[in-house]
Amino acid sequence: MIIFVLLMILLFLLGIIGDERGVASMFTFLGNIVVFFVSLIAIFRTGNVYAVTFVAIMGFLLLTLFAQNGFNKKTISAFSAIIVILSIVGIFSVILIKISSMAGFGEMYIYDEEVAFLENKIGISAQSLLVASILIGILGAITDTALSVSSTMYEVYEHNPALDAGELNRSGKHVGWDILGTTFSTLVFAEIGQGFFIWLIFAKNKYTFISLINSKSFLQQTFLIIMASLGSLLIIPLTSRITAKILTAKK
Amino acid sequence: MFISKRFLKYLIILVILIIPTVVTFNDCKLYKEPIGSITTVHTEKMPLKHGASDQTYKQTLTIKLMNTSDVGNSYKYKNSYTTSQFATTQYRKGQCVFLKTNVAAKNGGYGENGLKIIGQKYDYIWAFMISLLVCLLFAIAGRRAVLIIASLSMNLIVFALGMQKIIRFKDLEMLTLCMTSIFIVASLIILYGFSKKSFGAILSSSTTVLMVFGLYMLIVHFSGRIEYEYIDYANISEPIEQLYISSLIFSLLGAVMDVSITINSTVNEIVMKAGQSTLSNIVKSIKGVSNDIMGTMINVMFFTFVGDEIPIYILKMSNGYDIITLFSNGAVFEIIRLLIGAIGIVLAVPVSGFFAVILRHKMIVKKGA
Repeated sequence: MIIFVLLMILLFLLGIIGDERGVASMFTFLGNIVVFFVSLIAIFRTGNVYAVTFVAIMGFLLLTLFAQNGFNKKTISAFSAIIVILSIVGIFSVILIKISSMAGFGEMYIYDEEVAFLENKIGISAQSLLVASILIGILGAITDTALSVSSTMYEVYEHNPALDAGELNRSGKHVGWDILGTTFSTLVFAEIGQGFFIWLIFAKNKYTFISLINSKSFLQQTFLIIMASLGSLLIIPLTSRITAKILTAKK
Repeated sequence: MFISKRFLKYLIILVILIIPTVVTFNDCKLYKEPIGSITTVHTEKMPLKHGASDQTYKQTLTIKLMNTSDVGNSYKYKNSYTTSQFATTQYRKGQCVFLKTNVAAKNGGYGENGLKIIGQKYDYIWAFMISLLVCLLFAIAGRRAVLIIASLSMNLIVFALGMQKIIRFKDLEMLTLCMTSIFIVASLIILYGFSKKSFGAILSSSTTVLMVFGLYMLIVHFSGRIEYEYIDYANISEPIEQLYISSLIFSLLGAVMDVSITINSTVNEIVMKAGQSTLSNIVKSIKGVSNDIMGTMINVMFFTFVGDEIPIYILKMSNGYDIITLFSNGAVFEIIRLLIGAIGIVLAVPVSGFFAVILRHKMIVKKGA
């Protein structure tokens, strides 16, 4: 009931505040939810985590970038940068997860009665699921950053087509730096809110700084935010460079 | 001599990256708890049991003690893990582990001295990740990195101190209000300084958060009791409803601040730089910008929230939960969080537009005339 009411309020607000594009955002959002559900079922049925994640990411990008913002130079630049950064962060995550053996249950899982009693020998590797959760989890932040940079560069170039690739590149980086602070804040607060009941357990159990940085649960809880921050950082110069090249390329 | 600035910059970055990682990797002697380093690993694949979905592996590890009075002593240790590795761990050569001695065999102690691995040492992973992030931040964002780090540090300190008070479960509403106010004011002032833009964003963010809170309370009032006891990790002896509302407010703060500062910056730029700026032009620009950012901001929230949950969702589905059951228990609260966040993002647009225009009212009237 409450979900239905909230969804209706969101649709109504998007309709009156965002016009047609607001409603398009809503459909993109609902489309992403459907892709997410389908990919969960596909992972569960096939057990092929990486292949399903790859297809799901393509589906998310198709909706978020191209269906919502059209197929143009801005979205092509953002798409190219996102694919490169996802590959880098993906490889980096796999290495870190393997080196540290951080996948699987952390020490906090005993506090979740529902999960603690589940059969956990499921034939699907927790490591691959953690990599999938990182890749899908960082997608929003890096897409937002890449699209902000490429859109602004496009606007700048539209107003001044005499600019060369170097000047455009610099302008893109400036925009990226401007939005970086709030992107980090969005990620950090989203995590603070989402993991609130786990943070409470950490506080109640009087974890010291040293015990926190050696806790598997703490590392798992924050790993996504660190990888998303890393991705958002790296995507700024890359998107600027790609967009500048694409925009100034001879027709 | 002939070292270029760029080379020097990368050299410094490399040093900053390597030193904390190497130091924390070798800091075992600073710990009181026994720590061992895994020096050899022998892995044996066990025959697959009929009908089992997981392959079992047995490991024989050699663990060398890195601290305590027995430093340097090596011990054999038996470990087993399965392919899914949810509740078991595959150890690798070079990893450092926290140990306990004299643990009874029935409790997992191994060998004569009852050795048991109780956890892994992750401090060097942290040192590496944070150093890498800080180095990249300085390399890419330059001096702005200082402001970003200051803002994040301030928020994390306020959160850590706030949590110490929250666990007393007294005056939760007041505490949430205080923490929220500090988060908003500190983040925006540190990142954007004392300016009309920051002031507008502070007013917009605070008002939006209050409106979303009011809306949520109103909906809850009319839609009947919500079974908060289904929230993952919640303890029913605590005021779960108030805690959940605090978590809702915190999770939408970043996104609301992001929208608020973007709208306030846009109006600021238009008023300062455009030759003539009428109210209808400004409203049109706010709509244009908001259309650009709303969709992607909602997606940031969506992917951050669902990404985290994938392993647990798959685990539950493998235990017979269908999609409906999965999302009608604990996940309901994540969906509510997501929708509340999205409503916050959308509401922040007109609220920010209102405050941005009000604060520059005189200038708009002057320029529009």
